[in-house]
Formats: sequence, structure tokens, C-alpha cells
Amino acid sequence: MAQPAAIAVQGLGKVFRRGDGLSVAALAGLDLVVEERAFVTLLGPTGCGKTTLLRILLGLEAPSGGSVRVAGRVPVEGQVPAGAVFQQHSLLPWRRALANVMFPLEMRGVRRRAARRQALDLLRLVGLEEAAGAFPHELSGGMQQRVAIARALAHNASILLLDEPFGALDDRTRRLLQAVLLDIWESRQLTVLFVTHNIEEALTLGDRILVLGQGRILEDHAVPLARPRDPLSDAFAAELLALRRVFAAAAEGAARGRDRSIEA
Amino acid sequence: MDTGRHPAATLLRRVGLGAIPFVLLLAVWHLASRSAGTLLPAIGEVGEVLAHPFREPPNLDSLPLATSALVSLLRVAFGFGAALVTAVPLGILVGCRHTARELFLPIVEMSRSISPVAWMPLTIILLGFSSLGSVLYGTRAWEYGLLDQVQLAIVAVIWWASFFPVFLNTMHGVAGVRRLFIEVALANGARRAALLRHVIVPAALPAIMVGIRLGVGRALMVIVAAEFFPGTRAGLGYFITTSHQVAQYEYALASVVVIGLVGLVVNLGLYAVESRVSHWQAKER
Repeated sequence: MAQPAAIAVQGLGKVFRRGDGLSVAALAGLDLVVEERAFVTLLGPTGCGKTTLLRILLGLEAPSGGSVRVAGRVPVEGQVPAGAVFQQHSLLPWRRALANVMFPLEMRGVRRRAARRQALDLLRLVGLEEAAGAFPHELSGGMQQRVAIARALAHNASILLLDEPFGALDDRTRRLLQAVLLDIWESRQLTVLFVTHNIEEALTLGDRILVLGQGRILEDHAVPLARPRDPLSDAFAAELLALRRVFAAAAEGAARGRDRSIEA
Repeated sequence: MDTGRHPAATLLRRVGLGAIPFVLLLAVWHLASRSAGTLLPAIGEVGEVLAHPFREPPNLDSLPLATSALVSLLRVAFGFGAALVTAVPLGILVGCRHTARELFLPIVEMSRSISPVAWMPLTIILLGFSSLGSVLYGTRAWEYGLLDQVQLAIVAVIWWASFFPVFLNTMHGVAGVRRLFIEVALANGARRAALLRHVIVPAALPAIMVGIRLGVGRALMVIVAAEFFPGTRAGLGYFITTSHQVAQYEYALASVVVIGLVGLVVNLGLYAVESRVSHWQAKER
């Protein structure tokens, strides 16, 4: 490998202790490498450990075992190795859109005037310049997520982590925002790890699709489609069907594995 | 809410509607004061006292009405101020820690049901008649007339009255800050110290403001009763006591009206501040 990987995870494990004292493994021996400037989608059903993985990559959660490197460093809480976009309602509701985008800049000690200018540029980039003075509750769900993307970009990190950012949006808005995100990925030469449970979304966006289940990567699927991708094309439809089969087989395999482990 | 109207018209309507009970109250008062053998002073007599707030009351051993009100407000200000600077930091501290909440809950629940006035005899024994003036300026305190009237015993009672609403609301506000906001801030580069200023306090501010409004309300309620006790030579409560002693009830009623008006102004002001700091909360789920 000529370049160091943007994200490198080896043998990652995370065990949660539940209220009743039982331990539950959210992640078990997960290996993951994301090359620089790749767009990788992480696909998996709810509760498969996707969010836990992202929280560990952001330093919000400490791993129980294994090694994690983001941009070559061990993620630490409060030190940002990557920009993050969360699921809906993650904007600070008492701050206007502009002030939300300025937040990471303020935390980094950027001077107010410079922070303002940068934040305005980022809002322009996501097409929301005129909403700078609006409070989050005055914005639609799609607009809120645009602001969240602008805020994630304010870190100036080359890595972007997204946790089902468009999950709560209607179809049209989602396609729009997917296009915005792809544009930004290309123009800013970012590395993106995008978590979703939507197979079509994973296929629309990713160079690689990692199918997650049972706390590890079950399938690493390279997407052979060229960009821009047309979801109405035959090639896309065929690939979607193939991916559904991969996903189903992986899920079935995982279920068999689970049964075996219960019997054992 | 009628949003279609002109704002001035809306304001006029609200003020007009709010005025109706006052008019009714005055009418009842007027009729009651005209009935035979009543001790209730007429509206005009009370109005006469209110119209001359700086006049020394002729038969009363008391400062003028305006000065009395000012003394009472000073006591409230210092007592409430003390509550604010103790209850907010403590509430934040206890709100952040689950163990601290469990530690303090029983004693707080016990303490907050004790009427502030119940402490009055004890605070007088403990603090005597020392005042802010006597603490700051010793025997020259009399030169600082108003500060000499701010007795520590009364300030302590007002502190007790307003501490718990502010403390409890701050605590609940802080404990209720959504985990997501904290994680978002951490993921956006906030250190632990910055969390307090940039997430916890702004997120809890609406709750803290509710506590402040309730705390001020309780302070205004308690001040008059606290001033009934010996050791005071001024204040609206003292004004009421002395006017009862010489059966000049128009003075007592005038001070009741003043307290009510002060409460009205303070509450409207605090509501305005509250809606400013918590506008985002009503629509937030």
C-alpha cells in the first residue's frame, strides 16, 4: 500500500454491560480499512453495531479491544480526526444555522470574523446561504442536514463520517442531498464513510459496500458502476439485485452462525 | 394567538382584556368600603397615600412608602442575588452527577418544605441585628442608611425562600440536557470545560429561567412576612405592621398595592426574558 489508510481498524471489539449485568458484544473482531479519497458505505440492519463503530471512530466510545486509527491517530474525545454528520436533530437548537457551522471553528480557537466568513462559505457550498440566520426549528429536515454537513466540513478534516444522515428525509430530498454530498466529496477530495441501512442508498453512493452484521464485516463488495450513477439504468438495477442477494446471504450466514454459537 | 392582527392592536387587546378584572376588583372594593361600619378604607384614601409616596406618614413610625418599598426591594435583591450565585452553580454541579443527585435529594426535599419565615427567630438569634451596612462600615453604618436596613437575618430568610426553586430547576435542567447535544459538541472538538459554557448552560437556560421566575416570586411573597418580625425599622411589611397598630388601614392597603404592582412588573419582565432564552424549546421535541 503506497498511501496510509485514512481509517484503519483491526480486531475491534466492543462489549456493553447491560442493566441486568449481562454482557453484549456490539462489535467482535471487526477489521476495516478505508483508503484515502474512497467513498465507502457501511450497510447493515438496525442494531448491528454501525453506530457503535462510528462512535468509536469519533472517540466518543472507548473500544474494548483491537486497534483504531483515524488519519493515523487514535481517536480521542474532543479532538477531531474527522467531521461527523449524525442522524436528524443534531444541530444545537439555541444556535442559528451560521452559529452551528461556526461551532467547530470556535472550539478550535478560530477568530470570530474568520470563523464567520468560513461558515458562510460552507453554507454557500451546501446551498443554504440565505438560511444563515435561521434557527434549526425554522428549517426543514433536509435543510437541517445540509447545515449539519456544512458543520462537519468546518473541521477541515479530510475524512467525513456520516451516520444515516438522510434516513429521516423524503425520497426527493434524499436524492438531492446525496448529489450534494457526492459533489463535495469529489470537489474537496474527501474520504467518506457513510453508514446506512438502505441498500439503494449504499449502492448510489459507495465505491465499496461493507455489509456489517454480528459485529463484524460480513461482506466487502466492490461496486463496478461508473459515476454518475443512474438509479433507473439496467446496470444499476442488476447491481442492486446482486447486492440484495449478497446482503440476504450474509444475513442468513450470520443467522446460521448465531444459531451454531447458541447450540455450542 | 391572533397573528393576523396589527401588533399594536394585539397589544391593545391584551392590555384591555387584562384590565377587566382590575376594574371589577375596584368596583367590589368601592361597594364594600361604602357599606356601613366597615374598616375597609375607600379607594380614594388609598389613592391619596399612593399619590404621595415620598411623604412621611403623619401618625406612623415609619419611613415614607417609596423608601419602604425601596428597602424591601433591596432586601429581596440581596437575598435573591445570594440565592442565584449559590443555587445555579450548585444546581449545575449536582445536575451533572447522578450520585450527587441521590446524595442531596432527601435533604433538599425535606428543606424546601420548611417555610422561610420559620427560620426568622433563629436567624435573628444567630445574626442579631447586623446588617450589610454594619458588616461593611461598622459603627458608621448609620451613615449608609439604606444598607443599614438590609439586615442579614432577613437576607438569609429571602435566600432560603428563593434558593430551592432556582436550585431544583437548574438541577433538572442540567440533568435533562440531551446526551446527543453533548456528543455532538464533543465530536465537534469541544473539551470538557467548553461543554459547560457552550452546551450545558445554554441547553439548561430555559429551566434556569423558570427557577429564577419562581424564586423571585417566592422572595416577594416572603419579604413582607419577614418584615413583621422585630429588628426591622423599615420595609413594606414594617409599614403594614405599624399602620395596623394605629388603625390606619389605608397605609396597609397602599403597600399591598405596591407589592402587587412590583410583582406584576417583575413577572412580566421575567416572562419576556424567559421567552427570549427559551424560544427554541417550544418547537424542539
